[in-house]
Amino acid sequence: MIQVKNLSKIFRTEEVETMALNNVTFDVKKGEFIAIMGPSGCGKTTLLNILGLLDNPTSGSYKLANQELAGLKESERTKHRKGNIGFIFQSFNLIEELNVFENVELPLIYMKMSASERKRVVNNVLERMNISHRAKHFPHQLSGGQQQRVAIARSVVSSPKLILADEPTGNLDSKNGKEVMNLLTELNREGSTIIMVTHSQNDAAYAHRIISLFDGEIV
Amino acid sequence: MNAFKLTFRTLFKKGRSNTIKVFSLATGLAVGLTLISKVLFELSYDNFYPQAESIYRVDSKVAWNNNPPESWGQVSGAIAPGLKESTPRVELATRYTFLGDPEGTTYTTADKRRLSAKFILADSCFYRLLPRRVIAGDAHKALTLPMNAIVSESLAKKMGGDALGKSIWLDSYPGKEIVISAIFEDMPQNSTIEYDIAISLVSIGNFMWDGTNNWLGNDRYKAFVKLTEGTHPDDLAEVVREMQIKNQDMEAIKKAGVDLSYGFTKLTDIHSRSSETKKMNLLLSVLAASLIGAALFNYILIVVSTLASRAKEIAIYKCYGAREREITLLVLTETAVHLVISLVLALLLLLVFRSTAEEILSVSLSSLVTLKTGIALIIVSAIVLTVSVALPARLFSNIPVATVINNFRISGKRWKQLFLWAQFFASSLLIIMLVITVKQYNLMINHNPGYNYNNLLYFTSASLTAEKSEVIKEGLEGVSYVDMVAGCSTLPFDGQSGNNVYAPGDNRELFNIADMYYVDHNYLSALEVPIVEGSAFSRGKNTSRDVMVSRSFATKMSEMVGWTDGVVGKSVMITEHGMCVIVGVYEDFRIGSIIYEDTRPSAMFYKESPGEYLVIKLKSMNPESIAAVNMLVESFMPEKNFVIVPFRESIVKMYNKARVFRNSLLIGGIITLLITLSGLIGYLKNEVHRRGMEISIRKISGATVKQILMLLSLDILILAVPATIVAIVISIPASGKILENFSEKAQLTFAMFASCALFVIALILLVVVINSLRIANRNPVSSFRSE
Repeated sequence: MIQVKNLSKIFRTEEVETMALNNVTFDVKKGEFIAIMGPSGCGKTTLLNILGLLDNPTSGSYKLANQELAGLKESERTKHRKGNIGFIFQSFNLIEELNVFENVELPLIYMKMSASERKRVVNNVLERMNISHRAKHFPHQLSGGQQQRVAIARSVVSSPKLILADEPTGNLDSKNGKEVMNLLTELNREGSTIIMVTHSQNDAAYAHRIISLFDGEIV
Repeated sequence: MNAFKLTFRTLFKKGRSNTIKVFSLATGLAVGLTLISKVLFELSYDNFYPQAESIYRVDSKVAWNNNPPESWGQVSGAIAPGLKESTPRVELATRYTFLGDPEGTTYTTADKRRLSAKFILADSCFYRLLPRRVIAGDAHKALTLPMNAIVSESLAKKMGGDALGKSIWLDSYPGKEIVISAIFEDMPQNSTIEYDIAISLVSIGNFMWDGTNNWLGNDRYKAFVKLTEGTHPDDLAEVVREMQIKNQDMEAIKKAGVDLSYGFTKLTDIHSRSSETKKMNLLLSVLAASLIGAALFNYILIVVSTLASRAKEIAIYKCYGAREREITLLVLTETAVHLVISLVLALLLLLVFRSTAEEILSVSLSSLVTLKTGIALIIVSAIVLTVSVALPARLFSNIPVATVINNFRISGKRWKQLFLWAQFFASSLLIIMLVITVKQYNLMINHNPGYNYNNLLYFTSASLTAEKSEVIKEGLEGVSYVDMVAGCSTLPFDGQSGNNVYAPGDNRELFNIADMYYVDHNYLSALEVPIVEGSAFSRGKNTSRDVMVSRSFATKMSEMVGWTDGVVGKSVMITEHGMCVIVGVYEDFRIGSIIYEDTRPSAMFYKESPGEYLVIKLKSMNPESIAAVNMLVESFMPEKNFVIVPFRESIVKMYNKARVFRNSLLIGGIITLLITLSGLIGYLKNEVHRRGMEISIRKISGATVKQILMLLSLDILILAVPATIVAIVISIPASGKILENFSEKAQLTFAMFASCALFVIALILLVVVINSLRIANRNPVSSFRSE
């Protein structure tokens, strides 16, 4: 499903050049659950940004479902990202002004889905995430675990090909963290491909495979 | 997600500064749009008449002794009908003249109501050329019948509603019965021609000398012509000349050293193209633009300031598929909702402060509501919406989507600094202009005109007989709080008629004078005008053939006729008065106002009881003395309502337009400054949030509260100081332009300009210090925690 070949990312400022990723090559099969691990500054987030089409690599190839996506313009990346990639963030990144239903509905609006269809799909996902009773609540009225469940609901509501998770349990206690990991495992069992960045060996244990990064290279 | 719903949800969200944004935009729009409406109102004068573009006023143009011609909007009685007769290109012609005081003359109705109205005497064509909607009766016919009149609707109501067929009598013309034969719709406020009652011109002989068929002199008539389609006033030059040759003694006029001709001014240009209106419109437009600009910049400044705190939110939208169009739509919806709320708030502000606004602008707000005002509102709103959406939408769209994961920091600093700078500049400029205007206004109402009016009161005594007038005079002089009482035909701040001066045996028309007509022996003494040659008038000694002239009159005679040994005892011929003997010379004093000063030499003639006005000099001016004078005068004439007016009140009234402008600038300047300071507060809130970590690190590294305050203040001073310097540089020539038409100008010093700039800078610093104190005193650990 994913073919990454000789992927490099260099950040340049006027005086300093930083090699964040250095010729990274790996494949991910459909339905795999991958954990990316490594110390701070090793390039995990940079890699996730590129896989999530939030950023472009400096060089190399990135294919998602056999389509070359490296070097696309922002507008084209948006088009490919829309509905195909779901994101789960460490800090949940829910929009404070939107309630649970509206937060989960967000990707579907940009996919131009009809309001009635959106309502049906969002309610299904909320039921599945066991958060439907909080549909009208705003993020600040929820616990951390509930917020992350909403974020997961938002990431899967468009049935994406790929789910990218950036330290999804980083801001949660162990109980809520375990719940989130169980949810991700369940989604993976149902066919979702998941790539998760984590510092936690415990969380990484849920994955099928671990990719370890160090100084921008796979070790 | 509904963008409208989202906007309303975030309306009072902390950190967005929406309240400041909306309030400053509402205030800026309320005052700015009102000023724009006022400018449009000033430009709309007289355009309510049908085919107003074809109507022209006939002006007299006179050049004395090859000097540049002077022009004024009055002509002799025969000119208007003469023009109509001379050419078919003049479709209609009319003339009218004022009767009594143009500000209001008292009259009585049959049921003994005493009212005041503006009277004119208008000819039979008046209503065909300058019509108003007729409510009742036949207005045109009324103006053809002797002693018939038409009245305005509001005045008819004051007279009891059913005014048709009723009679009225002017106080000044007892026994002259005038019958109301028609009622017309009130004149709108944007009318140059102001009247409440028009009496047929054929009745003029009942009130004054009938000069309606005069071709020369007695130029008291306002004449208007309506030209046929395609006729330009320049096309009439030859016809006018031929009419003059046929009806005026051109040889005699030429011999007198006078070149007399007639010109035309478009009716709709009389007010809107006058230099005073043009200047006021320009300044009010600049003020409106500054206000709306300051409010707009303030709005954008605060929106841009929230970039840092909103970056993640925008990135989330983008992450889930929002494109530039959707982000722009989000900003557009937010701004449109804020703009609509601001406009509603602006309307509420205007309704709440309606009477203040009407008092400041000297016009009812309902008069300002026109189609043009509506179009201006739409245009201004569209500009505000476009400008306030364009930049924030661009900046928001440029937020990298990766911000959703990284802590990407965007400041938009250059834009914020640009908007802050513009606001500091506008505020400084308006504060300087405000100080100049206040100084000039104070000078105008307090400047010594060459006579002392501090203890003077006056009232119109035209309706009194000479005997009755004497009785009142004696009565007033007999009380302890009255110093003296004088009589005169005209007041020095009123417009004066002109007459020409000739030396005996010399048929040259030497110069034109401001004719003060008749004064009694107390007049110059009451006004404390110094006598520089000869002696003042004295009772029993002088006659109406005795004249006192101004110093500039004597100087002119010395220059033109060679009377270097003085003028006292010499005879002069003055038109309308004949041969007179100069008995004294008085010091020149201001006739008219500082804005419209009549700089002609002046002269006044002796009369024991001049009739028009009684001037009362009090020993000390206070409300008790004024009330006592009122009571005393009333006790002499209980059947008449006399209005005793302090000179000062009339002088202040003359500068009403200057007062309107000063007040507009006062409100505009203060609001611009408040908008700027509120923008600065919004900016600082976001700035201290954005720089929280930096400030904490500085504090941990040993920076004191004072050093943190200096750091933040310096950032603002770098903008404020150059902005105020540029404002000073621009305001110096601008102030010269503002003051150029005043005969007496306020003294402007560099220290004054510098003080204004320092005041603005001090206010800015105060706001910076107050708003930065909390962050400067905050425990640095809290910043790390929030990070």
